[in-house]
Amino acid sequence: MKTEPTIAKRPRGKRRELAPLEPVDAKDGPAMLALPTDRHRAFVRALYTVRPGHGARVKAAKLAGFGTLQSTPQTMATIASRLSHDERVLGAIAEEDQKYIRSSAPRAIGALARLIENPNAKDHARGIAMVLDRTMPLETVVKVNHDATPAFKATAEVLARIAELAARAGIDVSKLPPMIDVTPASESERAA
Amino acid sequence: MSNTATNNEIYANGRTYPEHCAWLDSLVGDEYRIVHLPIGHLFNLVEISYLKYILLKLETTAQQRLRALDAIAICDAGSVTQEAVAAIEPCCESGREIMRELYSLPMGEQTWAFRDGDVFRILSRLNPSLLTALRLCDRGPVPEVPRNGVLEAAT
Repeated sequence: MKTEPTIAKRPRGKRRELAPLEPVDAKDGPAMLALPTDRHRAFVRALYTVRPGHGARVKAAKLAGFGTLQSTPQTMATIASRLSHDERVLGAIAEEDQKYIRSSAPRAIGALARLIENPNAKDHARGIAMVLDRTMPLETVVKVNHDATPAFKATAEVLARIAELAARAGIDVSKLPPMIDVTPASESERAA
Repeated sequence: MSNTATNNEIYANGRTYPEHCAWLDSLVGDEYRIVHLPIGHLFNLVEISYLKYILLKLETTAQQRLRALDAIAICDAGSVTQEAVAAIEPCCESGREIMRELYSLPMGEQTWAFRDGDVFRILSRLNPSLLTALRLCDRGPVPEVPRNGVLEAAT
């Protein structure tokens, strides 16, 4: 009788320990951390998850745990309005906006890559132009000559305007000290 | 919390509400004008005297002169009439020093310094033409006798 060879069991060694996972929770920014309670933070986060439109802020406030079961719609609307106009909440929303936009960049770049690979796409040329603009931007040299010297051109129009405004303000033009850049002609000089 | 002041609480400048009302009713003439003209206008009147000092005492360029005159021209608005602007004389050296101190304050506090009228009173003592200008401002009828008695008689 033939016996089947038995597979020797591997001696059980010491169980390997898994390396601790890095925490994957996103860290809040300073504006989110500056919010007074977790409910405020939950409100800001809920604003991005609820369906946009009428009543979105109220729904976000409810999801965040504001109000009670007995709270009327008017009460909830007041709570939501106060929350969304709070300077601290507004700061946190601005911070979250930045986060969402920055984290969307890889997807935008992916979409752009697919666009320039597809010659039949409507905006194919525009996509190529966008990429080229960012890799080889056009350089424009603008030469501006700005004269910042105190010698302001005291034209006849300027002097006439000065005389008009001075008369309106009750200032006798003849009593004004001489100007640094130009001295207006006196009455006798003008007559001559 | 209600915003309504009770009779015993301090309402303004260390005065209770009835005291404050009585004080307002006791104002006559220039004091009435100083208290009832908006502080921005009071600041403008003083600023005009400073700008006139610059225009008449210092040598300036045409550009600086035009800028100063433009600044004076825009003060002629609301209650401040053109006659009032024309009546203001340039400030003296002490007034100039006060203005320098004033301009060293942050922008918002410069006008706020005129809130209780003391700065304007001091400057008008140095430059009485400010009071003349104040009288030429269009602020409606100004009482010449305290109104406390009139109100009591009416009630």
